[in-house]
Amino acid sequence: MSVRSYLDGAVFAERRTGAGTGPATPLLAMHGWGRDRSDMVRFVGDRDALIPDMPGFGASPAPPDAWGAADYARVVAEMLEADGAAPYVVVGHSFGGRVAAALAAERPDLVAGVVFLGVPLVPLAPAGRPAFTYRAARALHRWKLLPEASMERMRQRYGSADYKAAQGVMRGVLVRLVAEDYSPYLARIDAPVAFCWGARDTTVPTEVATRAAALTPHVVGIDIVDDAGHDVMFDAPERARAAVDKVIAAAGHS
Amino acid sequence: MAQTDGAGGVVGVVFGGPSPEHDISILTGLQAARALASDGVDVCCLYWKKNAEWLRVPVDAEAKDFLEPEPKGAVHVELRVPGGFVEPRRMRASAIELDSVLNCCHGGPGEDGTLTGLLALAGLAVSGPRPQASALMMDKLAAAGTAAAAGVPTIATSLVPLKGDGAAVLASLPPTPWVVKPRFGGSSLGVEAGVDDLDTARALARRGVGRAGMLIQPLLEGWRDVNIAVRTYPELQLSEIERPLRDESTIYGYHDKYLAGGGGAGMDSAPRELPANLPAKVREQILDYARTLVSAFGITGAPRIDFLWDGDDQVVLCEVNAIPGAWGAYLWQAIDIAPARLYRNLVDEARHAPVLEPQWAATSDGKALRAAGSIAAKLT
Repeated sequence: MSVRSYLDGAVFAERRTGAGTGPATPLLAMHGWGRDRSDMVRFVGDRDALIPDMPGFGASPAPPDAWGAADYARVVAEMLEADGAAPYVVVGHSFGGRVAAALAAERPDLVAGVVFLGVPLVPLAPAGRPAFTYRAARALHRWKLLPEASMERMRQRYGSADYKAAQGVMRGVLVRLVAEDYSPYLARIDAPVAFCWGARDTTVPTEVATRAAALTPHVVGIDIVDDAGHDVMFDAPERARAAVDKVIAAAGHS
Repeated sequence: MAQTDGAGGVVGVVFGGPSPEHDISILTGLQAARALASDGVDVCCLYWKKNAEWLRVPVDAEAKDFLEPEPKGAVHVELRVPGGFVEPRRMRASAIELDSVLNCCHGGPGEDGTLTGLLALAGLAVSGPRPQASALMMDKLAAAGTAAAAGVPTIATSLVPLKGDGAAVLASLPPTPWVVKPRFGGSSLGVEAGVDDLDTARALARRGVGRAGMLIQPLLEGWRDVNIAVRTYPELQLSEIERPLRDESTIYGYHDKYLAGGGGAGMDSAPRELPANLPAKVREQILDYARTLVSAFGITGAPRIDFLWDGDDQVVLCEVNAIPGAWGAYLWQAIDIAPARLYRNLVDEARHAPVLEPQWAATSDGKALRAAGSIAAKLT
């Protein structure tokens, strides 16, 4: 129940050995943006699980450049190979779910099932254009007519909360991630998948879950929880755990 | 209008800063500013942004206002050394006249003596420990050595050995599991409890904050946190002792300190037993160690000293916090010292006991410069 270094310090993860008896598929539980493994440690409880600090968060160092979900999935796959307990039921909250989608599609040998918790898997509507002032500032900055300090003030004024909080390479990661569409990955997931969403999730509305589920071949459950928000695993932990159990059962394990 | 016991000018309350504890510092600063203002003190709130810019912000600002890039009513100001805070104007800067400054910055350069030194060099009377003492408290290895030299038991502390054969190195370290923590910093940020292999400890020491130094200590499972605050102005006083309440299977971390409890974020609302229910002998031991550490660290301000207690008769020093959350106001309230009185005393102390003493007058009289000859001659 302690943190371990994987891939020569590229990822730090907590390896929990389940307290239960009998065969059990281990979980890979991946946290959301701006969080760390403590979220999933709390959710997973005493199950057999590998719970990483995703690169750029918690103890894990930031990636060398602006990674997308596929890059994260490649490193996570290497970590799973080092851990040597495949296949895993992959639980992803928000950003962690983006990586889960890429991992499940690209490395089916490592994945027994997937649980998506409030994950921005498909774009709902084309993003609106940024405000004119911001676009003008960006152009002036590109032409070296606006100093970095002034440009940063504009970013702080017009950026999302996550963008404002992100620093260094993680800003590039965020920009890249929010532009990604995981529809092609969903169609290729050859394993049972469950969606658990908060009905009050304003970050990733429930419409994302229903649209993503329609693209996914082996859906074993869509649970929209009335009194839950984006952190559905904290607002309704029993419902989120039920989704995990459903996927484990469908994957042929108890 | 009631004032502090000195000249009665404006008290600057500084908070924020480029630190992982930026947000908690805002809460400490706003609480202090509000308490002083309610007590009739003229207060000027000076917010140190994450990018090190300074803003003057309204005294009645709320925590949520700092979610915006700049709180409503904020005015850009500059810190000039020497000169103090000024508000740049088109024709010439307007000085912000401050009688004294209450430093409410946690972590990083706000707490490690850097800001205290800057403010003092700017000509301001600044509260808290001296720069040297602040640096000592924020260096956990040096702090443990200082306490041990003064006879206060500490947790066996080693630097993470980055080189050397694993088996031989392991023999020189305490048995696993370990706590692996950054040498510098506060609030348990970057601390990993339960590490049980050297490769992981070394990997932690190679990344981010670990590069400045990473320490190994034995994980004292089942030991309880017991904290006390100390001050030496207006006279030596020790606060009540608290026992923070948390999941004792792990360390007392940032979440327990600042985000737990029902009273909203901030250390004052975290769950605790206050006064701590301790055997009389243990209580006396803690008070005795605290008095010893006051001398060993040359304490000014009102630091909080964190100990670990084994539940029986052993107490060891965990760390000393130069500028604790909420300035430890809840600990002082437990012995009937109201927050406003605590903050007033801190700035009174700043005026009466400058944190920087001139040390160069006798030896910097030009004799060495006159005798030096040319620099080029020294290089041949």
